[in-house]
Amino acid sequence: MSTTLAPASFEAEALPHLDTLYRVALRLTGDPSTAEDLVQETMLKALRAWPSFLPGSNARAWLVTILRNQFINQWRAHRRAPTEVDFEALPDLPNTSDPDPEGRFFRELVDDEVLEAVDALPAEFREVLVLSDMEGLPYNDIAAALGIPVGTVKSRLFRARRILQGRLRRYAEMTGLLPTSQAAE
Amino acid sequence: MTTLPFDCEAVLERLDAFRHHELSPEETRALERHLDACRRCLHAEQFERAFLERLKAAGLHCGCPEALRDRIRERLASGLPAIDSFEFRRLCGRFVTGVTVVTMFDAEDRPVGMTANSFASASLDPPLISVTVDCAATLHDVLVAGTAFTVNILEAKQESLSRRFSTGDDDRFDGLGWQRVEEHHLVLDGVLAHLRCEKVSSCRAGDHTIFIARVLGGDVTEHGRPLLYYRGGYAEGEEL
Repeated sequence: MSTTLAPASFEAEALPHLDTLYRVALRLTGDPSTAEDLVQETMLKALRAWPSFLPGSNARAWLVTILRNQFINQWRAHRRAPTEVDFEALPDLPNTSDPDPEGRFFRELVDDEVLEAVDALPAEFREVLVLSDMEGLPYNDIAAALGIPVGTVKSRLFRARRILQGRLRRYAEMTGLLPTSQAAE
Repeated sequence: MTTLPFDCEAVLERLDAFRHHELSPEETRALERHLDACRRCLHAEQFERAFLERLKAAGLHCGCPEALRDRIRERLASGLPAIDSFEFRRLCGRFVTGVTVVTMFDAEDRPVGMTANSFASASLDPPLISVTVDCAATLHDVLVAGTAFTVNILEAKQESLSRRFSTGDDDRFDGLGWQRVEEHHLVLDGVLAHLRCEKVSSCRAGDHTIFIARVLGGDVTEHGRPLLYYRGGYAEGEEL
């Protein structure tokens, strides 16, 4: 079987983004070993497609696009079932009568609590939130990676943040980080 | 052009752009003035900022495991196959095949069988066929050691038979109808046709071996529809 050797330029451009790719894969798949497979497949696919990469363009966004397509094609069947979201239940922004209007309680939460809440988001909200707010990709790159308009990225992100804030707040209330704002549910 | 002064709604709409430093200097100043004066908007900004900082920190909780990084470096260093296995399966899956079960008796005269869609006719004179078998399959070593085997061509309703002979079950013949024919051949009940074969040579092909065999005889059912395999799934063919 014919083989192509990894061009040095590919290694230099792509390898620094393995952390991002792995973290995104982990949030998409919810499983470390599936995430590893996904990252490896992504890198091989990217190497194959390397001739079509536009030098000077954003390699990270390009790799994330490949990873996400690979995930959709290969692992869609194993995708976690979407969580039901009550679209009417977006919490309001804090108002001045809130016990912690500046959101200091966020700092008290530990990583696992935050990540668990992220993983519980519906897939289409989770992916924009992970790419934007956890990995810091610009809206344009996210739109290109997901094949949706920038406006859709922004509106999904808005909802994703509100849902997540609401859940983290409820969690903080349950664990006593925040006094309960409403009658216990 | 400028829309000074902002009301609360306009401020909340622009907080994201504000954080990304995407506002014009005039808009930035106007927004900052509003935040100085409006507690509610200031809190909204602080709340969102605290949330985003926490989220970003949680995002950095882990990186790519070192073992994976090494594995990928190694893969890249050794070059990669021109296509990956997923793509290979996808391409080959577009070729429709029938389904056979290859059967034989092992050295202790126990029945052995395996589903194969790699069966093909190879030569007219002499009448030769080939069947390609995974080196890891139980049948592989029995085929290497023996000579007589039978190719059973499955009928449309025998999908379960195909599955039975392609999964890890060790008692594949349990409760199954079959007959011994001409001493060394095992013919499954209800098949469309069977070919009695005698191995003449073999050739290693990657992780499989291609076995070439002379066809000694066989039998065919006059009416029936074939079981088909396409894109990794089963289908039923028409009677022609």
